[in-house]
Amino acid sequence: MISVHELTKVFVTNNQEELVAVDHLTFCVRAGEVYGLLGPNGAGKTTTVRMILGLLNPTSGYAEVEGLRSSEAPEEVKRRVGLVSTSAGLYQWLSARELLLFFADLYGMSRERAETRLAELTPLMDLGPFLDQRCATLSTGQRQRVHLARALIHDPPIMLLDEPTRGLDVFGSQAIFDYISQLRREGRAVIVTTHRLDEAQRLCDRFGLMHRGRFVLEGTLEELRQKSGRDTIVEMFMEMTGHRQGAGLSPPIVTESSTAGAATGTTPGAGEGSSS
Amino acid sequence: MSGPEATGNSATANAPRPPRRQSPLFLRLMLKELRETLRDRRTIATLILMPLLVYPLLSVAFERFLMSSMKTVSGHSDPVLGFVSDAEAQEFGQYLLRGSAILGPRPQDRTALPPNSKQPAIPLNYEVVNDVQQSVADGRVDVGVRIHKLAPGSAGDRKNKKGERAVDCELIYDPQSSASRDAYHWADRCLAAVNLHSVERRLRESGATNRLSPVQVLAVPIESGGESASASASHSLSALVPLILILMTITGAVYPAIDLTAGERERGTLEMLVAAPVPRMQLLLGKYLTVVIVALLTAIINLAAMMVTIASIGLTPLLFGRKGISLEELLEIMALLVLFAAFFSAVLLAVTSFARSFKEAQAYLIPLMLASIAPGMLSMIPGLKLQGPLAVTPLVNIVLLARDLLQHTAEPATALWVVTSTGLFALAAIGVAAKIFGTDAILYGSHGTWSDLFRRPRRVSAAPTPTSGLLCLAIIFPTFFLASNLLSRSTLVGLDGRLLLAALVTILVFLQIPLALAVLNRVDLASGFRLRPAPVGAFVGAIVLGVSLWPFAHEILVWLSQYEVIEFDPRTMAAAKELLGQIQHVSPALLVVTLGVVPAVCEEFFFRGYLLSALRNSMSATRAVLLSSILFGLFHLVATDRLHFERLVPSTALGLVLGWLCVRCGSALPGMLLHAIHNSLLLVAAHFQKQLIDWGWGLNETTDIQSAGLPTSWLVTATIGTAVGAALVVLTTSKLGRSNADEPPA
Repeated sequence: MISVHELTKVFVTNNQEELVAVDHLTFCVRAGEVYGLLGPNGAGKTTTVRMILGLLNPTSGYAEVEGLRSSEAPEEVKRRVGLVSTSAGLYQWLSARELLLFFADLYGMSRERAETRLAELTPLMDLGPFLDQRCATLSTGQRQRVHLARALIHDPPIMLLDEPTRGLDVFGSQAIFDYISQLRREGRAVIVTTHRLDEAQRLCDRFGLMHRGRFVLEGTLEELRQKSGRDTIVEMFMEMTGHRQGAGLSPPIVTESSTAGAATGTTPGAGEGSSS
Repeated sequence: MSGPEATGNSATANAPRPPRRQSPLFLRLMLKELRETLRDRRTIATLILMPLLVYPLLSVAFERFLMSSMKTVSGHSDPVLGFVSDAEAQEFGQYLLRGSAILGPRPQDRTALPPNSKQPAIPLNYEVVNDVQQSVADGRVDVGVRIHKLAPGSAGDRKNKKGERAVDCELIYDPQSSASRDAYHWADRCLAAVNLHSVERRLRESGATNRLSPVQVLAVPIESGGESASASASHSLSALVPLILILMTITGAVYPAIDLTAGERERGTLEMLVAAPVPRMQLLLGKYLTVVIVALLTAIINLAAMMVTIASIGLTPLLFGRKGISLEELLEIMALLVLFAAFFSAVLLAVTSFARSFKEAQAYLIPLMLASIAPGMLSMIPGLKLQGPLAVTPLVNIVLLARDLLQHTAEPATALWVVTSTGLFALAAIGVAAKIFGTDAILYGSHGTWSDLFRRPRRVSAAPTPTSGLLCLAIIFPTFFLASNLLSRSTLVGLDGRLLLAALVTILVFLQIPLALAVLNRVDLASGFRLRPAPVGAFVGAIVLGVSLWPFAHEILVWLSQYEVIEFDPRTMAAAKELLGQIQHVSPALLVVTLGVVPAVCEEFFFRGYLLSALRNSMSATRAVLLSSILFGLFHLVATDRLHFERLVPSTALGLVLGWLCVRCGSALPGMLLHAIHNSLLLVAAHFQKQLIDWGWGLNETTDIQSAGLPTSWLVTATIGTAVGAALVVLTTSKLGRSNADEPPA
């Protein structure tokens, strides 16, 4: 369903220097599969997701969604994809219901169909208690659920989830991972970028471990174990980024501060921010 | 891949759905944007609270300014005099009242008095004060009167026949105060009149019969009364009204413009929008219309608040004359505000689209706002006329036109230029916004800068974008207007030189500007300007059409005139006759090259080359031809400083033929030939008019266009020629199919 071939993105900075954000990535994701795009900040995960959706044009290579190239038919691709982005915001003066129905309209759904779809999503995402509240008054967890519902409102076969658990507490994160499992059961192709490696290990069917725009490891968990000789994704991750682990100190979560150094020189400008 | 189970709810089956037919997407986007914007308290504050607070405050300042201005202009208020006692006031007051009666009522007081009234025009207002000098200094009285008692028994100390005693007095006034000055002059004139009257009476009593004054002056105030007396003040004030309205409209548009672009980007909602399958132009249009509507709402509320304020403090006659302001004028001002809102909203969106945050957008807009006030203030300059370059100077032209509308002095031709140029500037600004709004550099990059606007695309494109086409048009129209105006006023060169210069201007404007834009946007020149070869038969067809079409253009003029659709301006007719006389003395070759071939080639280069290709990128061939033809007709309507209504229909019709030919052949070259032959034929006929008449080929020399219809045989010949030409084009281009002709050159 998603096919990425030699995808490359080079940003040119104000100083006319070239920064390679994504460097010849190749992978594919099938229906009913959850693909974990993992890596430190600045590894190129978000840039990859944006190129798959057609929000950014690749410097070379291409991404295809159901056989359609993102750079050539971005609107057709967008119609098939739901995006949850860590940097996205909500319309402060609209209620969650108004926002969701507005996006349903943008995706060409009739009012009746949108209402029906919203009625399906409301219990699934537990939106009921705050559906008619203004988005400005929602908590972080509620906002993230609205984002997920917004990405699912047009019932897309493909979901791109960019750091969907960022800023959420344990319960909120768990809820999101439960929803992702649900997406897999529904037969959707899902790409998740996250730094919660332990959760990703349990959730994803296949992994692409990125560092400085490139895959250092790619495949199923078994394949990664064979290639790396390590047992967990966390260990593989620490190894590939050159971080030495202290004896017995196997952090369940790789924090942003512990990976920030790896991002140096690969962040494609401040606008790319820390979300890559 | 491990085989995850797919449940019965297969997502793939649900995926792509074509959008259903309903109201245009940009309108739905606009409704959502409006809903959100109007819920925002900050918008409401700008929209409603500002006018409610600003105008009453302004009106207070305005009223004080005007009241003092009116005092200065007409001395309308009654002077207040200060005396040390009632007795002195009564004694001295008699002289003033007599003097006032001799002088007669002032013009502004006449209506209050019965005809031939002997009553004093002004009742004496006075106050009894202790210190007259201090009370003048305090502004309590306008003039203080200090009476010096004459010594008893002195020459002056005896009563006249009326029982009045002579007095010496000091009039104390404040030269810094206009009211005090006016009161002093009035009292001085009254007393001088009393003295003169007294001297004349005594002379008559002593037997003098001759006329006593060598010069007698009769003051004749003009009859327009108050309206004219304060004309200059009211004219400069009526320029203030549109200026305030425009500034308030800007205020209304600024917040939503920032919020819907930079604000959305900052909050991360723009990413959600661009992740939806909505073309960027639709997003921009939705936002643009929202800004225009909020700006207009602000304008309407401001206009209403201003009119209510003006009416409530009774300033309507002073600002708008005795007729006041009619509903029609109010609607005209409103239409102008719509135009201004359309223009300024586009400029705001173009500027704020560059910004990545609210703060950055504000930083960009502050200089823009200041720059907007400066030209606005220009309109306050008395005697500044809306003409020439000012007619196409953004903002200044709208403020001046609004001023002229309020003063009932607006000229239609200039107004049309203001409307056309502002509309085109708005299109150009939207074009700029479309180029940068939502691009990845602005959306995600830290390196998106103003230079992105001029950054050449990496890939060569076969045709310009519609935005680029309209931007080109927006540059060409005012440039050509200014250049033509300058040329027509030039007296340095003779007719030959002016013809050559006109050709040069045409080349520079119609060739260089589109060419520069095409190079900047990396457009393939051959396909972008439709400079592709065409079948020989198409060229032959174009020649036949070029020879055959002019009688129809002529007949259209005759019909329009007969049915009174157009009226020929006597100035246009006189200018045409003068031109006809002049071109008979110019070499025919020079005429054909400068007025026939060069304009034809250059206009085709732009209208059927660049513009038609650009429009074809976003619409059907029929619509693109229709729109480009209307623009071609409009260009000929407003090409000079005078409106040529008579050129609108024939030029649009010729544009339709040329557009059809261009789409049919996939090339602008046959059109250039047709256009050149059409122009040249008319010029040659004009040059040899006398000879043609002598040979019996010409029309009679009548200047009455209604009786200048062509003989039927000519029209039949022209019809046959047109049919043959069109058939040749159709036959020779039918093999090209739709691949070369109708397909957009994307």
